[in-house]
Amino acid sequence: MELDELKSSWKQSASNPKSRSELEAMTEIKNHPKLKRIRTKLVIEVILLTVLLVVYRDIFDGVEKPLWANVLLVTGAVLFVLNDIGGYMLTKSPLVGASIIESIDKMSTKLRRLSRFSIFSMAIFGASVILFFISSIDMSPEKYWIVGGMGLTLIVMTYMAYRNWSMRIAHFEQTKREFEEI
Amino acid sequence: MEEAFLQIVDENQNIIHKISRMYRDTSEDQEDLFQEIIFHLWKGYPGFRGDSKVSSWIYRIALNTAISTFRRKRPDVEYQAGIREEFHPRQTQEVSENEERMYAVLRQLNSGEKALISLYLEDYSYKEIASIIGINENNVGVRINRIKNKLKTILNR
Repeated sequence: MELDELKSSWKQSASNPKSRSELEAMTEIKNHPKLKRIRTKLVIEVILLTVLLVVYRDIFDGVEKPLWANVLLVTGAVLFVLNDIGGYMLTKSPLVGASIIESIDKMSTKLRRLSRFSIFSMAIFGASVILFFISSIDMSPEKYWIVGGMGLTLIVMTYMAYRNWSMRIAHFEQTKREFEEI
Repeated sequence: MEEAFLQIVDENQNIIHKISRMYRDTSEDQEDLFQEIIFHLWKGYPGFRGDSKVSSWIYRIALNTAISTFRRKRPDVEYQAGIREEFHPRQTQEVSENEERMYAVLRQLNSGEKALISLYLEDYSYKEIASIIGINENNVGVRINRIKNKLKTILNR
C-alpha cells in the first residue's frame, strides 16, 4: 500500500450509517457510555453514604462521639460525594477551545484542579472515618496496630489515587507535546 | 434546533466514523467513541456560529473527544502486512481489507500525528489544519512531511 492508496482508502472509507433516531438517542446524557458508568457509581456511593449518615449515630454510637468527630465524618462524606459530582460534571461539560491545543490546555487545567480536590477529599474522608471510630475508645497496643494498619491502607489508597490522576494528566501533557514538537 | 443538528450530523457522520476507527482498536471502543463525539457535538452545537465550515467544526470536536478521553494503554498490536496479502478476497472484501490495512497503519501514529494526517487526507489546506489544531501553518507543512515519511517507513516494513 502506497501513500496515494492510503489517501484514496481514506476518502472511500465508509461505515454503516446510523439512522436519525440512533443519532438522536446519542445526544441524550442517559445514553453516554462513560457518563452512564459514572452515574451508576455516583448513585451507589450516594446511597451507601446516605445510609451511613442516617444510621451511624445509632449503629456506631455517634451520640457518644465528640462533636468534632461527627462533624468531620459528615464533612468527609459530603466532600467524597462532591468529588464524584465534579468528575461527572467534567465529563459532561462540552469540550471548549478555538483549537485542539487550546482545548487540551483547558481540559488539563480542569483535570489538575479536580485531581487535587479528589485526592484531598479521599484523604479527608478516610481520615474522618478512622478518627470517628477511635475518637472515644480506650486505646490498647492491639488497637494501635489496627489503627496503624488502617492509616497505612489510607496512605496506600491515596497514593494509588495520586498515581492514577498523574497518569491522566501526563496523558494530556504527552498529547500536547505530540502536537507541539517539531 | 435538534432537527438542524441531526441533519448536519447525518450528512457528516462519515467523519465521525473515520475518527472513531482511527483512534480506537475494537468495534466496541469505536462505538463508544462515536457516541461520545455525537454527545459533545450536541453540547457544543449552541456555540457553533458558522464561522468555520461545518466539517471543520465536526473534525475539531471529534478529534478533541478522541484525544481528550483517557484510556489505559493496551498492548500495541503490530500491523503485519504479509498476513493480509495472503488472502485473495472478492472486490468488496478487498475494499474492506484495504480500509482495515489503512486504519492499522494509521493507528501506529501518535495522537497528534493521527489528527494532522486525517485532516491532510481529507484535503484540508495547511491554513485550515493550522487553525483546527492551533499551530502555525509552517509547522503544519513540516509535520505533515515527517508523518508522510513515517508512514512510508511503516508501509515498507
